[in-house]
Amino acid sequence: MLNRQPFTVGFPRADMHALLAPDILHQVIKGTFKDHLVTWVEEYLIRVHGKAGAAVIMADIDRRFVHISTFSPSDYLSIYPLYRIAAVPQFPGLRRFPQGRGFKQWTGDDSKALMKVSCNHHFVCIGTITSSFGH
Amino acid sequence: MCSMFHIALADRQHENDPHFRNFRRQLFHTTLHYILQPLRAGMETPEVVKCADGHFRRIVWSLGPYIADYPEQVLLSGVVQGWCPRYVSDAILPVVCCNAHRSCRCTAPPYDLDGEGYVRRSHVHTRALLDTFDAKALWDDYGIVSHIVVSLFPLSPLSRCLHKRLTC
Repeated sequence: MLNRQPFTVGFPRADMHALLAPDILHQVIKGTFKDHLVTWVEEYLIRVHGKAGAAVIMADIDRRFVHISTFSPSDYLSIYPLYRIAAVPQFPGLRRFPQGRGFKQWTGDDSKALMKVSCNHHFVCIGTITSSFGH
Repeated sequence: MCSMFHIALADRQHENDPHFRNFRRQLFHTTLHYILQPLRAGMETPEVVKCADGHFRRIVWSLGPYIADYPEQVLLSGVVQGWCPRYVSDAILPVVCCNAHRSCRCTAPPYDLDGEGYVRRSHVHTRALLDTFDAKALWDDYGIVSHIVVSLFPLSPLSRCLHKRLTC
């Protein structure tokens, strides 16, 4: 960095701290949802259920879409709302996740699509978590 | 405008090395500086440009908004990871602020960005802090990264190397 400050010191009327502008993709979709919410829920599951238990739950979330032949109404009415992510049926505008959420490299579209099917499930999970804190 | 951008990569073992992180930050900033340097003339001297409405106007160009995710914002603004790249606070609380990042340490809430206790970061403010405090105080109290690893002025081998690559 020139003189230990951002490169914008070398340009007129340019202050990096003022130029940094928030946008929905980077701050809301990537920052809040993918980097924070999804990661937080996964870390919570590991802390509560242990690594193996969390892996089972997360695999279950992903599994239900691949093995469509084993899909049954009881799966859909599972007592764990978080499991319903992948059991979402086909619907225009909803993307399906046959391989679960195991992307090697997330794109913005992946995050946005996952938000559509899982956002309410994460919030229900959080609701379950916060309600159990009171006990 | 197309340009070749160097992204410094390292083995996993060096990723957390402070020297490498410093080098990567300085490489990033120097690269952007040299890439944008040809446009600088138009930032001080007006140019006559035909605008979209068909009229000709004298235009003075400036750098515009930069959108990036939080890790890149940290790299760009020279703040410590976890601090807000736009505001300085005099208390460190992990709240989600204007930047929507979970460990952001800015206490300026989105509805009160101009309230008391929060200072908006600027180059002028940072310059004053750099002249006053040492690196440790800057890091701990203001979330500013101020280490120097290499000299980036024209005579240094690193910048000569960079300059040669960028002008090929």
